[in-house]
Amino acid sequence: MVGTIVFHYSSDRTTVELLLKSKEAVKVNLFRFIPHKLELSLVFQRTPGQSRLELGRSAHNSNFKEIGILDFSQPGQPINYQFVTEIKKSYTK
Amino acid sequence: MPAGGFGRTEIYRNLTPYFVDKDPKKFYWPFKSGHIIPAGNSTYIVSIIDIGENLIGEKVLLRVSPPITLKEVAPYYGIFTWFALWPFYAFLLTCYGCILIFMSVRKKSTKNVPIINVRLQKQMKEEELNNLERDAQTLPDPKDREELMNAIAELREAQSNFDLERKAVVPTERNKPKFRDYSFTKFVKIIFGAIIFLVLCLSLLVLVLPLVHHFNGDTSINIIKLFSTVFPVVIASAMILYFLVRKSHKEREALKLNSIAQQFAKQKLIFQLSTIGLIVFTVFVIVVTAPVIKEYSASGYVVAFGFFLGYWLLGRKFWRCPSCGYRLSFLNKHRDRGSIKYCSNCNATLQ
Repeated sequence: MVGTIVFHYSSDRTTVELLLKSKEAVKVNLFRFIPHKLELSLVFQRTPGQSRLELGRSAHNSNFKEIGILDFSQPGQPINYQFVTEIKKSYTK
Repeated sequence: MPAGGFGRTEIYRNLTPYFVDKDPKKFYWPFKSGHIIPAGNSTYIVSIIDIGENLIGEKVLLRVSPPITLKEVAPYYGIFTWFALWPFYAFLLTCYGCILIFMSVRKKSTKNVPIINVRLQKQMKEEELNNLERDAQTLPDPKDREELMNAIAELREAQSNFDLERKAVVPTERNKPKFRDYSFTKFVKIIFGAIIFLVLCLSLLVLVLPLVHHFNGDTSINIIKLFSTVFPVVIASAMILYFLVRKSHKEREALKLNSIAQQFAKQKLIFQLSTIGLIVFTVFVIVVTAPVIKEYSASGYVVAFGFFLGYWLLGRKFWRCPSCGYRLSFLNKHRDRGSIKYCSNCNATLQ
């Protein structure tokens, strides 16, 4: 039962609504049983079939494995964000 | 990162920090992860600094990927992926439970207690009562004497009732049941108990899981409403279970007269309380050591081994016959603790 609770907890993604606007902030509470890397993503809405070019395209250079760098020709419009933990460590992009 | 995933009505865009020459087009491969979420609860504030023109004012969902997903599993979380199959385990456990129910309906044929011991106990009780009667005769006040004599008569009556009951439950070679006890009420009671137990477990699960979501930041759950609906179910099923396992009035009265059974009940209470203490201590150890431990699988084995060792030692200490000190059947998959009514060494009544 404990294992099932841990599984249920660890496989459930946390989602919060966010308005894309300068200085807009949102609070996220996370609980982890074991340390885990933070991976954030944004979910944009679209009507079926609509291609949104402003979000970019995932086409990139073919030699990325050799040079260790992914180079996107159309990365989409930038989103600069900052996240702050409770101990006031900040990471900016 | 540019859009990387497409749903029918959704487009996913990963938020990956870029470091290559501060060029928004270039990212290191493989991706360098910026931050590790520590064990325990943590709060983050995500704020937007700057945004592309076409995206201003759009409402999106910020998503934090969980450690276990269909595509990948984070290190040390591997063991928990097996719990995705919990309905299968629940099915197996239900089958096992059904077999246990079937087995407990059968009366144990090993309870063949020699009748001579019962007679010896009875003799001892009678001696005690005779001594008390002799003392009563020496009392100066006739009122007191009469009162005490009445009490002794009541005790004698209770003793004889107890003896009758003992005779009824102690199977001799003559009246030992051959295979099964076909008592329909007993069968219904066990089935009903099993259903109520399942209801209790499920309602606890229903109570715990949304609570976990609530502490994880999900505000869509109305905790008061949840508690007001599920908590009465928990209380009601727990009370029904209590009344089902409670001994009958006659049985309890009989056990009150048996000093060994009373001592055993005390011992049992200490054992149960120490087990609860052990569980609380284990949880405490896990919570305190979680943030500093690196090797999770190894420490998990150590904690599990420590817990079972502690439980086994507690059983060794307390799960004994108070009369002769004989160690009773413990952690035995074929005999649950409640089914032990007599000491197999000295045949004293225990519960």
